[in-house]
Amino acid sequence: MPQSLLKLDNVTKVFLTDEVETHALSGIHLEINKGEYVAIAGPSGCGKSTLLSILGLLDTPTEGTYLLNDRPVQGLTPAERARIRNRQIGFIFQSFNLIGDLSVYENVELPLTYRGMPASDRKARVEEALEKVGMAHRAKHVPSQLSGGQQQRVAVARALAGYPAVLLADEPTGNLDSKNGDAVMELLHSLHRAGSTILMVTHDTRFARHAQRTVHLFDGRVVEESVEEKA
Amino acid sequence: MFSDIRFACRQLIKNPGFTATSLITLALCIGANLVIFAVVDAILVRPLPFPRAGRLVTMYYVYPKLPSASPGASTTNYYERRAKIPALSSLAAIDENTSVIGESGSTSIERLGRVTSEFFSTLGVAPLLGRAFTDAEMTYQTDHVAILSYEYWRSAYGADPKVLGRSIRRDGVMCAIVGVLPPSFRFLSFQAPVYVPLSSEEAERNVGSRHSVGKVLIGRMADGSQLADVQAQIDALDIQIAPQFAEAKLVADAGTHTVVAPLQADHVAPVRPMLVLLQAAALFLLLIGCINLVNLLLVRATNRAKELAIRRTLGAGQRHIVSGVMAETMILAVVGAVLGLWVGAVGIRFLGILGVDQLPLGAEVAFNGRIAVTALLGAAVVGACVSVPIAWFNLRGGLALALKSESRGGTADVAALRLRRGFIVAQIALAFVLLTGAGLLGTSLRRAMAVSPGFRPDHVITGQFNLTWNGYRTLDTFHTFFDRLFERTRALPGVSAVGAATSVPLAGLTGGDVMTVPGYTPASGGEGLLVHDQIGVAGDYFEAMGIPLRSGRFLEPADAGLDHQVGLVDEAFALHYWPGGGAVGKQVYLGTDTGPDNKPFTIVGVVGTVKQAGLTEHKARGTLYFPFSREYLRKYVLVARTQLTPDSVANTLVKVVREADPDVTLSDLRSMEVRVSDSLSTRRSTALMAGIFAASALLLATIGIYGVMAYAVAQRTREFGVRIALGARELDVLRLVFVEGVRLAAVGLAAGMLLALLLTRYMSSLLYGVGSNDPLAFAGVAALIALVACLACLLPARRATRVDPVVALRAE
Repeated sequence: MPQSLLKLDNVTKVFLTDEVETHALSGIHLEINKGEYVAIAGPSGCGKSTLLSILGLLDTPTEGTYLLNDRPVQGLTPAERARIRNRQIGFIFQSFNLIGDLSVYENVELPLTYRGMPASDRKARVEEALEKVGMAHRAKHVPSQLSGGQQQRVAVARALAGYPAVLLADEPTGNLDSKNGDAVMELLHSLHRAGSTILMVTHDTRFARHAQRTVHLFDGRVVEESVEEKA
Repeated sequence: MFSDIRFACRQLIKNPGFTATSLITLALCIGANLVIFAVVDAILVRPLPFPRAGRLVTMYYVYPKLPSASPGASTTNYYERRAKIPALSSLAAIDENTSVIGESGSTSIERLGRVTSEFFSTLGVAPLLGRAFTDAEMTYQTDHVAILSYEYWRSAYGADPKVLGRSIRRDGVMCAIVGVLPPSFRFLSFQAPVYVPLSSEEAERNVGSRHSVGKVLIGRMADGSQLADVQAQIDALDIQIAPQFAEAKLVADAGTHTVVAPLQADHVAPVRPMLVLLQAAALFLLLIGCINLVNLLLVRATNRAKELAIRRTLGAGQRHIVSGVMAETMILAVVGAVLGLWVGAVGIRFLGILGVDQLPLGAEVAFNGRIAVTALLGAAVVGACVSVPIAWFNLRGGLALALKSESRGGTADVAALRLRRGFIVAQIALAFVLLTGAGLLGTSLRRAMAVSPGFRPDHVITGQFNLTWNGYRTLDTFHTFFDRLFERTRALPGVSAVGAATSVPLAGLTGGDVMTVPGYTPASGGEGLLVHDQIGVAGDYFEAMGIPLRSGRFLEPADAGLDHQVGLVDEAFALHYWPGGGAVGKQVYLGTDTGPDNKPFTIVGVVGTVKQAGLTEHKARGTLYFPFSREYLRKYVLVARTQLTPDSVANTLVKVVREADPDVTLSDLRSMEVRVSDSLSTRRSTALMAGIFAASALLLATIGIYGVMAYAVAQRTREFGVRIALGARELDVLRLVFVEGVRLAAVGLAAGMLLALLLTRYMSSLLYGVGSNDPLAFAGVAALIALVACLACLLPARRATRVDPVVALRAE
């Protein structure tokens, strides 16, 4: 029996700018189980990133409910949301979002420091994560000394280091050439095989096929769900 | 927290321009505050160095309806009140005086404290060696004893442990040393090497001398008593004994009453407004500095918006974000404070040059641990305060949007820019207040310096000397000395006139007394008794000082030996009593007694009015000059007019005086020009400090305006590119930037004017010849700030005109 990890029920997101309402999401129903690899696809402006922001607790829905591990999260305080982001969600961004003034090691270590984890434990987790993405040898470098593909690997390591319940990837290959893009997708694939739950936003159907299931968005609504036979 | 500190250090090192600007700003502002706080602390805050100093009070007569009369206490007050005020556990008196100390041929004029028997015990001070004075030693026959200060004991007696068996020569009389005081003892601002009994004879203690003020009375409040209790009991005693005084009605008409006040607060009261003003100015400067720092940090926060969004995305809570901000601001604040300590230490040394030791308790001003700790604590508070808007800014706004933002033109930037504009307006307003204050003080100083003192201060050298009690007992001895002194001085090359007087203008030695002019009817409106200055003169004092003769004649040597008394009055005196002229030949009595026992002075001449108390005195008290022979006065100031530089004859004059009498020594040698300048030292120092603060404020405001405008231009690079691409001319772009800057300056100026109108009224007591809302000062400052604001906009505006539309459009 699959176990539900994320569940959105009738989620709506409205942005209000200068008294003009923009409906970014309308009546979204979505459920993602533990261990699933789901892609969210759709054209630019369809609400993919807004949906990911809500799932990642970076934003709140205007209406509807959001259950994470069967717990409603829409009414949490900013501090509780930060705690959940830190412990249960791993983020991978299109533009890597590494902190340029920190070394590779420090970037990966950063979310662990916010947990108050002892230094020795942090060290073990960081080394493990960097080993997993094949970047242990660049631990002392700063992001500007790495290629785009390497930076994204570091970002993946940072997301993994905290043993999150789900990895949220927002166009993870968007800033990479095809070779590096393929390598990152392969990395995500291997992580999924190892048991990680992954939710990936992409507008590229080629990469969406790596997921078990693809949710298609258009104008803020789920218009189609397709299941890949070979995930 | 450690990782925050490490990261903050790394960031600060990585941005040396930002770090240096922030640290210099903080160091200057904290240093300026530290300098002024050192003075405020020493004078207004720190208790006097006596046990339970808060229980010490002083008391003195005031004559509110006799404004020309100086407040003070008398020896009679002491004896009348002693042991009669239950709210006081002890009462004492001191006469702050000078005396000739030392062996013949090597004498010096030293400060001398004449004190009553309980003086030291009232202060809670016990002699280090020996004993205090006794009641039995308070007469002229028994007062040949002395107590030495610790420092004088060490310097003059080599810290001899057997000093109690030795003697000290004072005014030619040997006095037995009976005690040595503990180190660093001083009474308020008065530090004397030698203390002797405040001896008196019966006539000085009885009711007739009750208003012969000139002493300082101090008391220690009894346990459980309050100031109000002391005041009430003294008031009751005053009422009870008032009828005993012969001129009781005149005294009552003058509104005479006793003021009881805390000793320290009363002593420093004259400089309190000036110190409060300067501390306020320093705090304004600090506020302006903080605003600059916040603006700088806001720019950084804007540029780091995405980094912070990433951190928050990864789970950084408010605590982590605030901690990061605090780490950076605290490092800046602490390092800035350490640099500020250095600036402060240099500044405090600079205060010494400005003559801070001339202020009440000013000698206590020093850089010490207390000041350093206060500066560090203050810096921590500054760091915490500066953190608040930055932390608020970092925590606001949507995370999702901030993460997406790749450009620097996001909504967060607009909010930051608004905030920074608001801060700039505040900064300009504060700078306006500081500049206006400094402008008013500067104008006051200029007006005071332009005041004619009533004499010609150029080429005049002056020096103080005391004649010993032992050597000058008869009038002949005085004549002999003055004849010898003047003859030798006149013989010096370049000396054109020489004289002496019991007081010279602006020297603070002036004595005053009630005078009565026969036939004079007081003006309507309640004018009662009038106090005028009285000065004994010898030789060619008026010629030497350059005081002009208006009518009649100067005093002559023969006048000193006349049976009847003659004198001169100044124009202020003459115009008051004889507005139509004809003062010469009229008579003046010292005191209120016009009976046969009180010989009047016949006026033989009228001289120009001289500013005796200070250049900025509003109305001269009027002066009576009389021949030195009238009273056996001991303290004189030698005045010599020379064609040479005054300083070049100083050493020669010292020799001449010593040759005239080996027991007499000339001290405090200063030209009259220096005395005039010194009389304005407090006013000059205040104006200078305020000017420095105002200039710093203007500089910081300029940097602030420049920073905001430069940032705004950078933000709008694409917009300028588009405008230029669409055909905007250089002037059009310049106008865009200038309008923005001028609008900020205009709002800041308007706010500053309102603030200045509210605040400058509190400095009225420090101004001279200019109103606190002087339109010229306000307009001048407004013009200056407007000019500076335009200059600060110039560079960013020129940068805006040089935007390459191709590059600007491609950059986005």
